[in-house]
Parts: sequence; C-alpha cells; structure tokens
Amino acid sequence: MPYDLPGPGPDQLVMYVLGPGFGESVLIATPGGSWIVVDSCRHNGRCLPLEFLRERGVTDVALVVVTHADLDHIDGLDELLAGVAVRRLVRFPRADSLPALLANARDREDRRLRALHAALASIDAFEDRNHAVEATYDTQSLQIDEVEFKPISPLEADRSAARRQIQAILNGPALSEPVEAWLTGEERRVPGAWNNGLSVALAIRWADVRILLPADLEAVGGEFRGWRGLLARLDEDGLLELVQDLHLVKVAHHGSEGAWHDDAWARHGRVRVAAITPWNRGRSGLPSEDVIKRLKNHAEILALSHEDPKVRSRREPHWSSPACSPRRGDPAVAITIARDGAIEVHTAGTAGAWKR
Amino acid sequence: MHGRARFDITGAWDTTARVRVDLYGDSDDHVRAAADLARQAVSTPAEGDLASCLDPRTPWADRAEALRAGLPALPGPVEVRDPDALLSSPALDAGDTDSPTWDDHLDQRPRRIFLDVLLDVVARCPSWTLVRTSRDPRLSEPLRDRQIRANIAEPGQSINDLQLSLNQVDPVCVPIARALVHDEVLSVQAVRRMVDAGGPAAGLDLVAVAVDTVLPRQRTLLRRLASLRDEQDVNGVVGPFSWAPSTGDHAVEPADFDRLVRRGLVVRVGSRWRVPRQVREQVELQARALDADGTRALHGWLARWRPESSPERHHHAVNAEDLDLAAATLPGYASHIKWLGYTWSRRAAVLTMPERQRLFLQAAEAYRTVVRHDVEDAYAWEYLGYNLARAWEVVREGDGAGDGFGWGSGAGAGSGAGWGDGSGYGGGGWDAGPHAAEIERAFTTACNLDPDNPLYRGRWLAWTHRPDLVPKFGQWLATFDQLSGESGIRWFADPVLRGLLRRRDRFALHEIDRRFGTVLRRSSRLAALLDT
Repeated sequence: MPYDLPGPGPDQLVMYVLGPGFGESVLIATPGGSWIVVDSCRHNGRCLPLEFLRERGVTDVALVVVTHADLDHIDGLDELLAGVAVRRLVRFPRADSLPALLANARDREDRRLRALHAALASIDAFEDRNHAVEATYDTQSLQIDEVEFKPISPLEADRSAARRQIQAILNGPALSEPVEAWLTGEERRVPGAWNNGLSVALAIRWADVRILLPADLEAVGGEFRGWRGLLARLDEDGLLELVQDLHLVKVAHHGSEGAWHDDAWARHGRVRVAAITPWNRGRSGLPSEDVIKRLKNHAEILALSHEDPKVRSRREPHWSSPACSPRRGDPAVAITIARDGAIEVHTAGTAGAWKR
Repeated sequence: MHGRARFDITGAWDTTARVRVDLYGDSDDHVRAAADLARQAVSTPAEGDLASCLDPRTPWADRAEALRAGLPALPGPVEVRDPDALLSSPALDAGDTDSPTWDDHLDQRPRRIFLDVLLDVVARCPSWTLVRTSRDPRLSEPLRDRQIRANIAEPGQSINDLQLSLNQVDPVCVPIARALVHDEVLSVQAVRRMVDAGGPAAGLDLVAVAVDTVLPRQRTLLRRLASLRDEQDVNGVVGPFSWAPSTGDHAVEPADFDRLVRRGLVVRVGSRWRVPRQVREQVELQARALDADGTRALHGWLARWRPESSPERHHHAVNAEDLDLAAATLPGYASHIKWLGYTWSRRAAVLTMPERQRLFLQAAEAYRTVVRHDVEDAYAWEYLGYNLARAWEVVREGDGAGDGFGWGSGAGAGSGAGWGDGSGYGGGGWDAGPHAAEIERAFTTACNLDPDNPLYRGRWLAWTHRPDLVPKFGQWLATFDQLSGESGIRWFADPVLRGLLRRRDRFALHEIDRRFGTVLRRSSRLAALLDT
C-alpha cells in the first residue's frame, strides 16, 4: 500500500522517516525541491526508500548518505543506486569498519552477509562509474539548495581504535569467537560495539532550523570517543550550535540506552520532535523503556516510524496519542518544518506520534 | 668509527652501495636477509663464514654465529633498508606471557637476534648504512645506545603545520598525508587530530585512509602490487604486470598506477617502483584474511613468473600455499615454511571433519618439511607433534571444536578454544592412528631442544600419560616455578590438566589438586580447570 503522507510544500523542509521495525531510512525534501536519502532499508523484500521515491515520481537524488555498515541501515542500497539517478554519495569510513571488511570474507551463505556485500559492492560500482563518492574522514559541509549538511562524526579516536581492533582480529590466531559467530549467523549483533561508534552523524541547518541525525552513534569509549568525544570536538571547533536547541532529532540507535547521552540531550534543549525508528528484534526491542521515560523531559512529540504493541506498552500516561491524525498506508512519519520553525507531524500506517 | 643511519622515504638506493639488503617485515626476514648477504659475499673475505647461511640444514644459532663472524669482513659500502621492519613482528612483545600466541612469538626471537647482530656490525663498520623508513622507538633507542646517529632530514618540501604534525609518524607516511591534504580528503587539522589520536601509529591510520579513498579498482590494483616485496621495473612493464591495454587480469591502467603513486601508496624512484612496507603490510593482511583464495592464486601466478633461482619464488610459493613448490625452491632456509604450517593449523581449528583432519595433517607435513632440513628447530618439532595429534584427536573426539575456555598456542588455536581442547589426545592407549610414534618423537625432540619451555613439557606429559604422571608433574612444576614463576606454572599445567579432563582421569586430577592445588589455584584459570 502506498505511503499516505503529504508531499513537500513551498518553503518547507520535509523529513520522511521510514522504519518498519527493522531498518531505517530517512528521506529529506529540501525547500528547493532536492531529495536527500540517509540510509536504506528493506521490508518484505522491498527497498523502502526507492519505493517511496518512485511513488512520488522522484528520479533524481541529490545526495545519498550511508551512515554505517549495519544491515538495518544499508540493506537495499544496491537497488536504490540502480533505481534512481544519484548525484553524490557520502559514506562512512570503510577502512575501520569490521562488518564492511568481513562482508568480503567468506562464502556468503548467510543472507545478511550477502545483502551487506551487495550493498557495499554497489558503492564500489557506483564509484568505479566515476560518480562522486566521499568518505567522511573529515567534516566538510555539503550545501544543497539552502540546506547545509555537515557530517560531524566519526571521530579520529573511534576510527583509530576500530582499526587497531580490526588489525588485532585479522592478525590473530583465528578470527575471534564473536566474529565467527557473527559470520555464521549464530550471533546477530556485530562483534564489538565500535561499528556504531563509526556512524556518520549528520547535522542539518536550514535558516534557523536545526536538525540532528546521529545514526547509531553510541556513548561508548573514553572522553575522546562516541558522544562525549563528539561534544568535546564540536566545542573545540566552536560548532556546538549544531547540536544545540534543535527542532528535530532522530534518536540515536533506535532509542537504545547505550546511545543515550545526558550531556548531548541537555544541549539539544527541548526539541519539538524526537523521531524514533524502533527495532523489534531481540527480547525487548528498542526504544528502551528508560529512553522513552527520559525523552519526556526533552521532546514535545515522539514520532515513531512503527508502533507495535511492544512499543505501545511502554507509553506512559504523560504521553497522549495520537498527536496527529493517522493515515492509511505503509508505516512512515512525515515531519514538515516551515522556515520559521513551525513543525507538523503526520503518520501513516502503523507509525505513531505521542504528545506530551 | 661507526656506520650510520638515515631516514628515507623515496626508496632510492645509494648507487655506490655494493651490497644491498632489504627487510620486508615478514617472518622470513632474518633468514632471507642472512642468505642475501651470503650471496653477495661470494668471492669476498666474508664468503667462508657466511656460506652456511645458504644451507637449509644450518640451524639458526649457527647462522647467527656465522653472521657475527662474517659480516664485518664484508666489503662495503653496505646498505640495509628498513631495519625497523624487524620490529614489525610481535616477536618483541613476547614478554607478554599471557598472550595466547606467546610461543609463536618466541619463535620469532631469531629476528631480534638478527637485529642485534646487525646493529653491532653497523656500530663497528663505517661502510654500513641503515636506511630507515619509520621511526620505531624500539630501534631508535638501541641506535642511540650504540651512538649510531640518524639525520632526520627528509626529502620533500615542508608544509608548515602539516609537517609539524607529522614529525611523529613514519617518514614513509608523510607523502601519503601530504597527498591526502592535497586531494582535500583531509584538512591539515584533521591530520593533526589523527596524529593526536593515534600517536606514532597514526601513520598506519593515514595509510588506511589513503587506501580507502582511492577508486575501488585502484584498491584492487594496489592489492596486486603489494604482493611484491622487492623493487620492480616500470619501463614497459610494471614488474610482472603489463600496461593496459592488454589482455588478462594482470594489466595495469597507467592512470590507476599514477594515482597510487601520487597518493604515496606506491613509491616510484626513476625506473623502479615499490610498495612501502607500511602499506603492503596493511593491504596484504586484509587480502589474506578476506580474500584468501584470490591471494593464493595471485602468489601462485607470481611464483611462476619469478625466475627459478629467485629467492622470492620461494616466498610466493609459501604464500600460494604450495608446499611442493616451496620445498623445491628453498633459498637457503626452510623456516619460512613454518608460516604455512601455522596458517593451515589455525584454519583447521575452525573447520569441520573431514577437512579439519586433512588440514591438520597438511600442517604437520609443512612442519615435517622444516625439520627434515633443520633438525634443531624446536618449534617445528613441537608443532609437527601437535598437528598430528590434533588430526587424530578430531577423529577420536568426533568433531569437537574445543571447549572455548583455553589459552594456548596460536598454531593450534581456533574459535577461541586455544590449545586446551587438543591437549588430552594420544598416548596411553589413545588411538593416534599411524602417527603415534612420530608424535612421541616430535614432542620428545622439541622438549630436548627447548627444555625450558613449559608449554612443550606440559603437552608432552599430557601426551604420554604415564603411570608416574603425578610425581613427574610435581617435579616439572617445581622446575618451571623456579624458572619462570607464575607464567611458567600456567603454561605447563594448563595442557596437563586439560589432557586429564579429556581422559576423564579423575584420579590423577584429584591427586594433582591434593598435592599441588595450593600452587595451581593461584591462577584462576587453573583453578577453574581443577573445579571443572
């Protein structure tokens, strides 16, 4: 069923959050009519961002950002790159990403590894066709229409630590047990937590509007790594404003406790909308109950790209629902932001919005 | 008068050097360089002493003596490139006795001995020059101690802030950083931050960035080029490769090659080129781990390309995992083949039957080839026994891949299980197939050659499982306690206890616990075994 959500309007920035319970893709329509896609995901065999774009007749994408090499953020990228004309691609630093390296390691009998490999290979093929691909080893801004997109992570300390770990694993007597378990599909979680630390977090500025898409960035590591390191870095560079007094935040790592960072949320201020892409795998899934509780002090509206019973059971009385009229169709959230910062949230399908 | 050291990033040889030796950072460095020196000593006063370095039957200890005696007599000028490469192996970290690959590290001790010999010679001989491409403090210090000074001027123009940031990293990584800044992959500030975050190792971080940000097909090309250790021609050909357009997988697109040169990933000097060690190590490591088949095939192709008498032919044969060709191309030493045994053994540990047994037997054959030439290689004897035993253990135990809580040799480690899962095999009525006698002989020989090695002794004791095991255990426990304290106790007792557990010899375990429990239980690992 198609996405029953409003299209981009004049002088509006619209962010569409797709996340049907496993996987995440964020599409942004700029006021100038350009499209940006951050990550890709598949659901029931369909590449969701591609399907979404096709429904709207979009054939040209100004920018694709691939934040990290976890399957729930990269699945279907090969279809996306083949299905629309992409002018520019920004990707995570692959040299430090263990899953990205291991996706080439074995006979890819495991479906996840096959999908991961296909997505990564599509980046290579895209680049070998002389398309612009940039790896986020530095934090240069990208300007599309009036909107500035600035990758603010990963940090050098996270990358350096990850590279050492990879070196040790590749150099060791055998691939370590967690890596073997991951390669054989026995273990779903990528070995080590550092892959999330290598996420490309994206700060977005349009006029006075501030948006933060931190992908799966976590608060692991010492003072120079993860969220702590990022805040210190932004402070050093005089760029803290990028994460301060935000209008819209996509909650990092599907609302896991490991990705929650008090100092960061203190900086974000009271955001108008906190968008969450739930993760319905595992015993308890995400967002965690604790993160939902904490968000009540930080967000006016929680926009959930998919609200299943597990997530709904965590809603406390101070959240009222719905915050907007639900529409039919596939699950997705549309958040429209006007130049003056006025925000509206629209949900479709099983997506939900809670209001304080 | 002393020899000297200098930093260099261009890879250019001093044209006046009569003798040139390259070090590559591989496990065969010491024996290969010794053989290289011996070849270049022919018809010189050093020839007599160094000739033994060309005989595969010469044990390492004798080679070291020959080098000490012969090298000072070698007419110069002599240039030795990249001595820091001798430190790239974990050999010098072997002090970490808790490392699961501790004994594999010990096997690299000769590299350190070779380095010491080299430094002593350079300290005495003014005609010797060390050309450094990195700044490993573990080499800078002994150089200073021997009053061998290196000038630190580097070719190339300085780029203010960038240059300051790069004073810590390996000189060979400096042009790479410059290229990344020039190509706007990194800002000067980003380079500074990488150096702050990575310290001296930031050079390798820079290499990783440089490799990741060339085009995918250029990364593929770099992987091919990096399988060659020595300098190659660039006139008309690119070493073994031909310039495009040409047929086959081994053609090189000039623009791609130039891009790698501009990035500093390939160093070009006149009509020659080479891939710097720091780049090669990183690229090869990933290639081996992630594309083993492709890497083997490439080395197989390169082995056929090399002239029959070329020492590098042997290196490619080893990396192609072609034992027959490796054995047929010994360039004066057999010890490089141990790498093959190590590789097969660790791969076997994570396989299932029947591949598991086949590969353990294949690993044993590699070590058998080594001891056939060098009868004093304790490590090779030990792992001949070890791999044979494991080959039969897996038959006996079904397809057990280990209990996952062991620590032990890398050559047998797999899936986190380590040595422990294999220490209870054989002897005392255990079926070791047709190899029981050979296993016994191999373990015995290893222990005789390296009597102070607690791991070897523990394995042997576990293997034999004699009726007097408990009193023997007590004797050796006291010995290793005295020799190397806690680590000696751990390395000795661990395989014995695991062996007894596998045999379900509760009586012996109980006796050991009753008599020696106080000492053994100081180690939580051993206590856990006793309580299993």
